[in-house]
Amino acid sequence: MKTNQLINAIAADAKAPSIPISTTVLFAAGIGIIATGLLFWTMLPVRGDMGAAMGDWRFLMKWAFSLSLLLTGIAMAISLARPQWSPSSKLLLLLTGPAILAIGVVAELISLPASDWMPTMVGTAPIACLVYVPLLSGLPLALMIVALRRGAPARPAAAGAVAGVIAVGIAATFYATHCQNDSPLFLAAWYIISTVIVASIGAILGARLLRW
Amino acid sequence: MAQGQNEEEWATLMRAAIGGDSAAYQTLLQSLSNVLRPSVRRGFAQAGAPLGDVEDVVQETLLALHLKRNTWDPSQPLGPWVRAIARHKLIDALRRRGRRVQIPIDSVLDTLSVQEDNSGVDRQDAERLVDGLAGRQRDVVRAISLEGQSIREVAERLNMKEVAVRVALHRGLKTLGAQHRKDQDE
Repeated sequence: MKTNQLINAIAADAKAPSIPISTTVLFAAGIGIIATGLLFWTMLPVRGDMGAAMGDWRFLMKWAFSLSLLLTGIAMAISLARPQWSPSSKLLLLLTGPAILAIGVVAELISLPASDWMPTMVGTAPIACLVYVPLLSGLPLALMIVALRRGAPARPAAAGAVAGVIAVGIAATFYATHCQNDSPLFLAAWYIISTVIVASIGAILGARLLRW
Repeated sequence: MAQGQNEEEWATLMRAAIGGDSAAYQTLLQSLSNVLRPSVRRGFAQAGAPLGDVEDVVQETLLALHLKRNTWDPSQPLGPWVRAIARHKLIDALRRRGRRVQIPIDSVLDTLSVQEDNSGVDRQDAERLVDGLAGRQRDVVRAISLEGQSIREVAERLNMKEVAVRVALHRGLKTLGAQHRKDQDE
């Protein structure tokens, strides 16, 4: 086929719908939030002291952390899904969640006696956090990968990792309403480990599935 | 330099194309392919790869532009986006041919606006591409591209609904776009 002939064929296909990648990413994240919410409520009970927790800065910090992962992840995913993306200072955006967490850790270290640091960090159910957060991330991660397959990422592994960050943001937001360990020390250990696990899985999937 | 003007013209044409304007799309793709060809050839020359496959990369780039046009932000200029896709396809093609790809690629494609008339030199032909299609997709893509028929004409001739022709065309182009992926994975 000559190039001119290929151009004929492509031009004839102009009417095929083309949904902006930003819309696709936002839509997938929305579906991911709803689906993960439903899965969460069939799997785990919401903590009994939810009302009281809403007034505690530690609990609110959990949400600040997970929601900033979610929002910065979405912003990055839309950038990374375009072919002309190159590593830039924009990546620092992803540090918003960890930065919020770091402030919380400092506040917590000041407010607690040193002898309480270790038990607070280990908390009551670290393993559950390491199991449930990645587990709940599975569905949104798959959805984000499917959405990003419509993109043209210059760095497929990085795009996959960010899909993982979005997934953890969704999963952790819901899991936070079950898990009674609210201390930033607990978050800094176990939620971060969960994030690294899921982002790594995302990177591996991305390297394979997001090439184009 | 005429680049600024080019940019605006390209972006306008692309917006029209995304809105479904085939004529604008044709003009744009024609213009882009003329600009891409010398750039890709320079990339091949710098990597020491045989120039016979230049047209393959031009075609792969055009297909990718089409299939990934949802990743262009219409508020941005078109050139950098086209360059990024061309660069991706060029590097990909050179890797497939076992070339070690180094930095010059960047500088090669930075000069997208340089126009050269060399239509007589390249064979502008890439037989490989259409062979991978089968059945209806092949019939439709062939009729529209090789025989220059319109969607309606193809629909009448093949006794298909116009919608079905459109679907077969789109799927056919997708298959073509994914084809080199398969070559690579095998």
